[in-house]
Amino acid sequence: MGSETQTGRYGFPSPGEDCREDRLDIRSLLVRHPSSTYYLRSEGDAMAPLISRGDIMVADRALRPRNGDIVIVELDGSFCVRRLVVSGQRLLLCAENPGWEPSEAGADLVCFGVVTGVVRVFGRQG
Amino acid sequence: MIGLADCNSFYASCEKLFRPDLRGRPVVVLSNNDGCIVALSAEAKALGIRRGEPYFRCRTQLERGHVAVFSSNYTLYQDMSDRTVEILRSLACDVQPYSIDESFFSLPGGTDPETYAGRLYNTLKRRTGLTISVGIARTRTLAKVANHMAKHTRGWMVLREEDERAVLASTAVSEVWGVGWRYQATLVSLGLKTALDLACMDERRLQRFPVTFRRTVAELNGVACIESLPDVRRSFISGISFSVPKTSLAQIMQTLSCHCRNLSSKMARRNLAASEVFVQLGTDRFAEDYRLLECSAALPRASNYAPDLLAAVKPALEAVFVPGLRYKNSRVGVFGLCPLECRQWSLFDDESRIEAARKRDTMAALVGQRGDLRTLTDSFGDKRRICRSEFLSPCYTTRWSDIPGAG
Repeated sequence: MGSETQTGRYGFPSPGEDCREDRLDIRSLLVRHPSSTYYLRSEGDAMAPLISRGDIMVADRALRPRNGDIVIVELDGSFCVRRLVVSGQRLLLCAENPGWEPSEAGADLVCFGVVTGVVRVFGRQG
Repeated sequence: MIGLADCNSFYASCEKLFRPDLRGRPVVVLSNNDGCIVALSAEAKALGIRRGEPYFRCRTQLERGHVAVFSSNYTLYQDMSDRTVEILRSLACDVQPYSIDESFFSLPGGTDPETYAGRLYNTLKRRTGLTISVGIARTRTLAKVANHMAKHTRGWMVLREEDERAVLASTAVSEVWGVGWRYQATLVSLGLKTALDLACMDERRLQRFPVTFRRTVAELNGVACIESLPDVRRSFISGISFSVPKTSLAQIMQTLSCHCRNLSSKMARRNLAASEVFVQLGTDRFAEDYRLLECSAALPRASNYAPDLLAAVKPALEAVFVPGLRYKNSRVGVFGLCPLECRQWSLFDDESRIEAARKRDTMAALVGQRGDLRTLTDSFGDKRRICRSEFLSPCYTTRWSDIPGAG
């Protein structure tokens, strides 16, 4: 940590000197595997209200997709975000939006990554 | 045992990873200035397109084959390369990156090479999204051979000692790592065709070859002697192709001054100084009257200060410059690099000169913290892109404005 904040030759030693901890960093919550983490922007309403249009999704490739995970998959040549549901031998891709029907995926389903969180940044006026 | 992890069709695979619509489609990546093909996906190779082919010459072939064409996006490739090395470091020991798409590594103790290679291959593939071949053998040179075989089989290959001879017998001399094209004619004239012929070379005959070549032969015989890779840079090169040819010496000097600044910040960042400068000017490489002008100059004292480099370059260039030619590219290289601390001051350098040099070093170090390429681009004066890169992909992993979308 910055040496300029440490008491040097002058003044009194800080009683907190030995209790210093790393300041909270949002990345420690969202990113478990930095080298295999990618960010994607949500462009549809399939996962509303859980994920909104414009949200930044954090996708981790190091995690193996499991039942119930929100995943980024390749569907008809584009990236899509869906909830993965394993029922028996079948793989279902479910939307969170009640208006959307689940679709069944084949064994050749390509998963880009498991979504571990979303980030939404609020713009301010002026 | 030593391993080599090598990404297949690295540039093309990076482009495809973020473009699911290109799955199964042929992809090529063009060199700087969209000059020629530098990388191809397996599908593009299958169409008979070759690496190195000038873009303008195979344009119709690419269109007919519905090939997706990309300008090279080194920002993306470098980040994907860094990610791959980081992941490899978490899975293997003593990882040494050898180029942007390949790294040597050692096996963790107590692992069965066969099981390890398979797991490494699968884990790398899942975490990076790229196909990375894994070759494992007794030496680096043999690991290269194993990797080459892995690419044509299931993706990983452990070359066991008892199989080495048989494999080398079916490997051409030209495929051996470290046997440059320089040696090929000589080796053919000696009747040496396979890697095994090379490994069994007569000791007396071998003595006539340089030490680096003898090391390669020893490595083929299972004696590891290319221990570590050189990590000290011996030279830097800055080069650029012009989208509009330049003719006058003044115009050329302007580009050289940018190269010198670029090299200066590169050296400053690593605390190095150069003792020699080298300049190359070329006309259209594909034209019949192709000309290449070259000159070099020694610096009076080792320096990384751009004006010092330029001062040495200028008279050397004026001596060889041919007016009236249409120059398409320029390159400047610096050689004889040494750490700044051991730079030798000549007898006539008084204190004030030394002090001035110190200040310049500090300046150069400050400048060096900024992106050197950007300064290079900005200082070329014209707002037009100096490099043609018509088919540049987004920087998916390094800019928020460029991240991919998902529906």
